[in-house]
Parts: sequence; structure tokens; C-alpha cells
Amino acid sequence: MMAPDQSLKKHVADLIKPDRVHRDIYTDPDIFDLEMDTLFSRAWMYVGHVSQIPNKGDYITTRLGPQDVIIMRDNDGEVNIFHNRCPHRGPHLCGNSRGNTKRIVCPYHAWSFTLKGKFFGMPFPEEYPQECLKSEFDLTRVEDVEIYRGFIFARLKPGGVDLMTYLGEARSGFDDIIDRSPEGEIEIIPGAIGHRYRANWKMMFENLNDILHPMGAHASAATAINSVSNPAKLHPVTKSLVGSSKMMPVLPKLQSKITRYGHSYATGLISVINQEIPKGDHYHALEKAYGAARAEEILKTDRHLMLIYPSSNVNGAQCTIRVVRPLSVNETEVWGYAFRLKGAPEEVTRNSVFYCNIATSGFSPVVADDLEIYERAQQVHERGMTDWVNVARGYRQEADAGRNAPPPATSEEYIRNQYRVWLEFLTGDAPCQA
Amino acid sequence: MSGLKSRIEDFLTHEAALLDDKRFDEWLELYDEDAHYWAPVLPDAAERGECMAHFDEERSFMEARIQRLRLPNAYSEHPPSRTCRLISNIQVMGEDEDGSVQVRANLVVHEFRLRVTGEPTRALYAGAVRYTLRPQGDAFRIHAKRIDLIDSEGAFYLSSIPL
Repeated sequence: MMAPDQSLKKHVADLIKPDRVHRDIYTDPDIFDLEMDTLFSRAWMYVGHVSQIPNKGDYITTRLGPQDVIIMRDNDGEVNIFHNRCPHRGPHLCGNSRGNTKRIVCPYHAWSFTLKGKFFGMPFPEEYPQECLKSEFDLTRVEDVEIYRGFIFARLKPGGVDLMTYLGEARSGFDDIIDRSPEGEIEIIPGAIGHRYRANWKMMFENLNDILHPMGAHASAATAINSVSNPAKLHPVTKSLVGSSKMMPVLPKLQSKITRYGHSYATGLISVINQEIPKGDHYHALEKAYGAARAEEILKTDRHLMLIYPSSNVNGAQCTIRVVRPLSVNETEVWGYAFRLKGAPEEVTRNSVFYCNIATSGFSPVVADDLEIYERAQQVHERGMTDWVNVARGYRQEADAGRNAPPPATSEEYIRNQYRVWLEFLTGDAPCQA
Repeated sequence: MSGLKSRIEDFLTHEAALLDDKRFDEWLELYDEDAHYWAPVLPDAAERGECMAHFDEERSFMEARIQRLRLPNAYSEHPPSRTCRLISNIQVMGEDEDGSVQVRANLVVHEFRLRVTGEPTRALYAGAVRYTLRPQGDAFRIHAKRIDLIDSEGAFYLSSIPL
């Protein structure tokens, strides 16, 4: 990709207004390339969990911004991330999504590399100048790799704030999963559930903290679920998925929490409706490990859908993470992962898996209407049926009250915040400096 | 009474026709009260409730799924999808002591949706189906239907009609 020219950056700056955004940000392939080169290369991205590579030589492959990468556990137990391509003629080194190996061997000419990414061997090495063999033929490492309580984050281009500064309060989304384990440990459930939609990746980030959208988009799923002949037989997680129009009056009492680098979540539901937490096996396991007060505090933690901008979102209560993978300006994949909480009853794992499936599968009646809406909006933007997209809900009130007042969860301030950060990454020379 | 395999073939062909013809209430009636209908992600998935799945449903959720299709605000079905499916390569794998029959078959579903909001969409689903059927008179009731899609580890666009 050519370096983005300054005129594109200047153009991008004109596309974000305080209360609206221009359709080009969803449809222009040049802007998508610029997003890959800036936002997705310079932000800390969630890329996986250590339980996916528990043993020496275990690896998974994934994408980090525009690069395909290998996440490898080496013989010292360290986690390394390499670009998934041979430094010789370029093809991908690993073609599987996961595996275990003693060495990384290129399928083309059998060049081989250690688990630390160092050049190890090739046929006819004497035909290369000695100095090349020393360093030029090592795999390209991703230097910025940090692991927070088992969650692996990486940043393709070095520079900028450290992971803890980048996450800020959003790190609590990850704490919220681990804290629910009576042993303080989790492991990923094998298999990931994926859906795909024909629209821009940002649609999902705009949708997930939108606590008003279930009223419209999920009304059919709610009606259908609430009208089955034997509701007692429904999985207990089912009803929590679709909300209810009875919730309308309490929604403005919920709060939206927004962080410096674009992360956000909605909170307050449990306290506003004064919901009692169930004192079942999970509570008792936590009580035994941490005491009654802490057990109650853990289970009452209420951070609904923590958006980790721009890589993923976390549902702490359901112990799931969904990773967003932009494929092109109008194609997006989303991958859902569920976790087993060590020491918690199996029922908690089953709930997590059930939730992850139904909140991520393209066959889910809850997900289908979200994806339909994204694709309709994309069509309208691509065909230029309107130039500007409105993100003004709550804007006037907040402008009057000043930026420091926490917005209600009904506000679209979390979207406006995402675009302030987006603009900083896309147009700034040194984004992400504290 | 015709042979077991022939009756199974008639029954599975009937199920396919009910789905293609959108006779969803009659389709649900083919299933036991304690039926299990699922499509795991991993081909070696063994246990229900433990594995990632595209759907993993009991009868009550299947009922919700088909009720939604009738609602005027099921926007992902504006206009309704159409399907044409083939169920074939039917094999009787075994009979249990309680009379249940284990059946394996191949399923191919072509799905089409005309969309006024964009290009029409077409999708193709293919995989092996494993049924546990309980004999009932000349026909059967479905106790379990497991679909192993050949692309189960891939990501799917939205789809609303049961497979």
C-alpha cells in the first residue's frame, strides 16, 4: 500500500462533525486502507488468550490490522508474534488456524525458523552473503506485545501509550470475566462461532452500546421468545438477550461510561431495577473463595458489552469476547469466543457457550435483524442516498452540561467519542500519546 | 408396511418439503417434546451445551424461531427467503433397544432472498445430518437432528430459515 497522501487525511478530517458523520467513512476503500495503516496498526488490539496456546510450540494464526500473524509459544514459554510470511519469497508460513510445531518451516523452499522467529536453516546457504543469514532472514516480529491477565494484546507499529493506559477503565471488562472464576483462572472453549455481514466494521461498534436498538431491531425476537407455549423450558439466558419494552422508562437512568481511547460500556441496570443476584452454586463457590461481600460484588458487576476499540467487545457477565475482523470497506467478520471459569459450576460454562452462540451466530434470530440493519445502512451509504449520518442523540444536552458530565446510556456520545479517537488515529502524526 | 429405509426416506423428504413450503407449524410437530436440533462448529463435538454451535436448540426455542418468521417486524425476512433442499444418501446406521433409529443423510440447501434494499442474496449450505428417529405408526418423530456443515468453522451471513 502506498503511503496515504496528506490530501486524503485532510479530506477525512472534513467527514467528522460533532453530531454527524459523512457516508464516505463507510464506503471509501481508500479510507479503509488508511484505517488499516493507522488505527488498526497503531492501536492495541486484542488478539487471543493464553489458553489457546498452553504448550511450547503451540500456535494460532490471526490477523493484526492488515498483517496475518502467528502467535507462538516458544520453548521458554514466552508468547511471540510474527508476521505470517516467509522472508524469502513471501508466502504464508502457517496455513492452519492452530497447531503445534518444533520449528516453523516454509512450505515453498523449506526455509526454517525457530519458535522465537530466528532464521534456522535453508538449502544451499553458501549461495547467500553471510550477513544476510545473520538477521535479514529472521521472521518479522511484532515488538509491542502485552499480556493482561492472560489476554494477549498486540500493536503492529511500535510507539504510543502502553496497554494499561490505552485500555484505561476498560481493562475492567477483562477483570470481570476472570473475577467470576473462584480460582481466578479461565480457559477458552474450543471452537469459535463466526458471522459475516456485507457492511462496514464500524456499524457493529455503533450498534452494540446502543441500548435503544433492541426496541426496534430485536422486537420480533422478543415477541417470539415471549410467546412460546412453554416458556419454562427456554434456556435461562434466552430472555436476557432480547430486552423488553417494559425497560423503556428505566433506560435514561442507566449510564454510559466512555474512555479516552474510544472504549465504552453501559452500566446501572442491576442497581436501577434493584435486581437480586441468584444465590446458587456459582455464588457459593465464589463465597467460599472470596467471602460473601466480595462474591456479591462480583456477581453484581454490571458492565454490559464493553467495547474495546477497535478490536473487540467483552461481555463480562456471560464470559464471552467477540473479535471484529474488517475484511474490506463493506465486508466484516465477527468471531465469538466463550470461556470456562475454573472452579465455577458447569452450568456457568453452558450459559456462556449458549450466550456466545446466540449472540454471534448468523443463524441466530437475535443477530439476523442486526445484520440486516447494517447491510441496509451500507446500501444507502454506497448508493449515496444521503451524505450525512446522524449521531446526535444527547448531543445538545451534553453540550449544554459540559463534556465532564457522564452521559446517560441512551446518548450516542459513545459513538461521537469513537469518531474523535478515529480522527486522531487517521489524521494525527503521533496519535495515542497520553 | 413398507421397509424401514423406504419409510425413513419418505419421512425425511416430507420434512424437507414442509420447510421449503414454509409449513413451519407442521415441521415442528415432527419433533419430540424433548427434541434437540443443533449444528456444532467443530466436527468432533460430542456433547451438547459444551460446544460452540451455529444453533443448539430445544423444542421451545425452535418454536420461537418459527414464530418470529411470521411476525411483521422480522426485518431480516423482508421479503421472505426461499429455500430448495435435497436430502439424500440416506443410510440406516443402527437401531437402539428402545426402537430409535440412527440415520445419516446428506443435506444441501440453496437459499435465495430477493432484496429491495440491495442485491439479491444466494447461499448454499451442505453437510451431513445425523437423525435419531423414534417410530410412530408408519412414520417417525425426530428426537435429535445434528447438522455438520462442511463449512462449520467458517463465518456465515445472516440466515433465518431452519436448515
